[in-house]
Amino acid sequence: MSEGHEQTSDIAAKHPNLFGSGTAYVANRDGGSVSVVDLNRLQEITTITVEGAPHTPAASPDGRFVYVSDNQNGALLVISTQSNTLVATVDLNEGPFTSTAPWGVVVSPDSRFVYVANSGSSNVSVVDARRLVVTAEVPLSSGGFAIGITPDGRQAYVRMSSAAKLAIVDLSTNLRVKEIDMCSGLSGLGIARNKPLALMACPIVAGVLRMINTRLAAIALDAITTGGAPDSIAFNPEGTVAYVTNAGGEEVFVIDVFRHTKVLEIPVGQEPRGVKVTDNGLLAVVANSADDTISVIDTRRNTVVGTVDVGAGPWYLDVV
Amino acid sequence: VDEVLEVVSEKVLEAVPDDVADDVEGQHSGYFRHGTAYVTNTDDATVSVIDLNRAREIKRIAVGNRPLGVAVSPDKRFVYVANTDDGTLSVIDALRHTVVATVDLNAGPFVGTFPVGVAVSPDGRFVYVANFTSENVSVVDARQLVLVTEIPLSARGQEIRVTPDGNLAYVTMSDVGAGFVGVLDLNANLQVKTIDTCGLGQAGLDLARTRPLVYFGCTGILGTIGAINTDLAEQSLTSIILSSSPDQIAFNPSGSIAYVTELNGDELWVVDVFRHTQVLTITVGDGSRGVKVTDNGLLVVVTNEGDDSVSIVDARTNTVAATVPVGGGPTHVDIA
Repeated sequence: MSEGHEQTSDIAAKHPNLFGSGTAYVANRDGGSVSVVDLNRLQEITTITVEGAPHTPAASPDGRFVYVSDNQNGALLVISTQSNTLVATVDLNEGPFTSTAPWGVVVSPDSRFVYVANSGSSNVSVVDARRLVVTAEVPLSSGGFAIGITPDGRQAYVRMSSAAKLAIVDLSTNLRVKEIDMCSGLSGLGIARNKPLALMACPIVAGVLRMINTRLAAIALDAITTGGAPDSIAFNPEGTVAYVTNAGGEEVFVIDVFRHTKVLEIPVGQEPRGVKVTDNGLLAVVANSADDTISVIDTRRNTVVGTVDVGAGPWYLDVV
Repeated sequence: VDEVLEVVSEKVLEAVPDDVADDVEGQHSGYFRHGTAYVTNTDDATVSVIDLNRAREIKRIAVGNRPLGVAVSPDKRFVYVANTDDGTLSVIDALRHTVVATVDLNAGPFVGTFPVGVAVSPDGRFVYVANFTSENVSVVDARQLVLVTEIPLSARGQEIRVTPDGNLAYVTMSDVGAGFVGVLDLNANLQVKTIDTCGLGQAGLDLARTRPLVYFGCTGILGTIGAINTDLAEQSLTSIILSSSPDQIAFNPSGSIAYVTELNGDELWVVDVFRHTQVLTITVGDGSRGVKVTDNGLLVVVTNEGDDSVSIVDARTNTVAATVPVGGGPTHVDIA
């Protein structure tokens, strides 16, 4: 164990309420691996070596599996959270189905389906999580990047970044039902868990967030100014605070949703991309893509309580 | 004993309609449960408090200059009044009938000029004030009595209502020669939709409590009412034609009837919601403007700006049961 790890463990010991925060799965895009980090001890448990370019991890709501898109090979990697090993690789190009450069991943609330947005092939692969095969595809009008699902599991929101549009997909028919004009740029979206609310990051030209009422599928007229290049968005469990990474800098923006205002900037590592809030709401975990670390933020104090070394080029992560 | 009183009061209420017009005060001392009406007297900077059981003004409270919109909190403990000329919100204690606070809508970084409409969130925690000149909605924390944020609007704000789940607000807005209804997301406090409603002037709106329905009025050569389905935030393609231009609108508790005041007139119109038709005209006082229905659905209270009075209409007979003199230029009313 390195000296750095001992220091972060000391910090964790001083924050006993971090216990119960779970485990982070970090996709090291450049390192061909997935880092598994114990968030209670702020220590890396293991590194799972995989093929290709692991891009976006998404944990199943039942906590049993983590699915990771392989941006290089058009595949979906399946990791067991019990053994922390790669247990399957789903070929997204099998049979009549196609997938090029898969990007965002999201799992249905009942853990039955995994949706993979394909940035190269303008579609969403629908993977049956039991049989581990593609069962359907959602056609898009342009490449799909970040993807989110409404808490009721009825709709998916897909950023079509090159077309500067947001697609709203009806998941009972796996068809697009609406497109909303959105900004361009490779950036993410966040959907609140218990409010009909979603935020979209717009890094170009000036950094802003666009708000969507998910019940009406209507976009707010006014944007929330953040500056920088906002990338990923994670809400606290109440949906009152959003954490937004600034991939163009070294900070996480804290957004007061009610006041639709950026209220704080928390310094983290270089070019932070992925961010997730733990289910207990106590931690926000940030992947710093340019310095191969994750930053762990105490959401009550909004300060970084630990930094953990991971593999090369960590872009996105999820927590279980 | 309470149960007996309940039964007796039911009987009294049943007995009232035939002779309610004769002498509301004297004969119907058991005619309670209608509540208290708060009427903004716009010309003399006061609020008239009317005991609707006795049809009598019981207090006149000094507020800010040119008060317009008024809203009672869901727990009926507070009454909020928008003072247009001052850019303030007066907070009235509904038990003591005194002003307990005045919130400056232009404090700190916030701007709230010519506040018109007032609405309270279903949990009573927030007061929303639609500002005409500053084209925004001030969000006031009802406990701390401070401004917490603002909702920018796409045009000049007027009347505002909050949906029963507290997630959305509907606000009338006007521009030169056009009217709109804005749909506001109250979780992020941002306007998410603009519904093009009126080609000419925008009149008032009301939101039904138990169905997904908003009515809004449009003034013009033909006065009309349009309906918005609040599940979809979409307006109806057909309008209800009125006998002339409408001013304010109030639903009965079940949302089956809407009462509409005549702009620059002396009429109150009764609209059958199911049949989307104006079915009745009741003559009230001059310059009928504000309108509200009591929680029991039995009375409709109308403010008459032109003759400084309030008409109390019996909703079962559709006749004026009493007329109560109030302060100068009454424009809006809410009922506690």
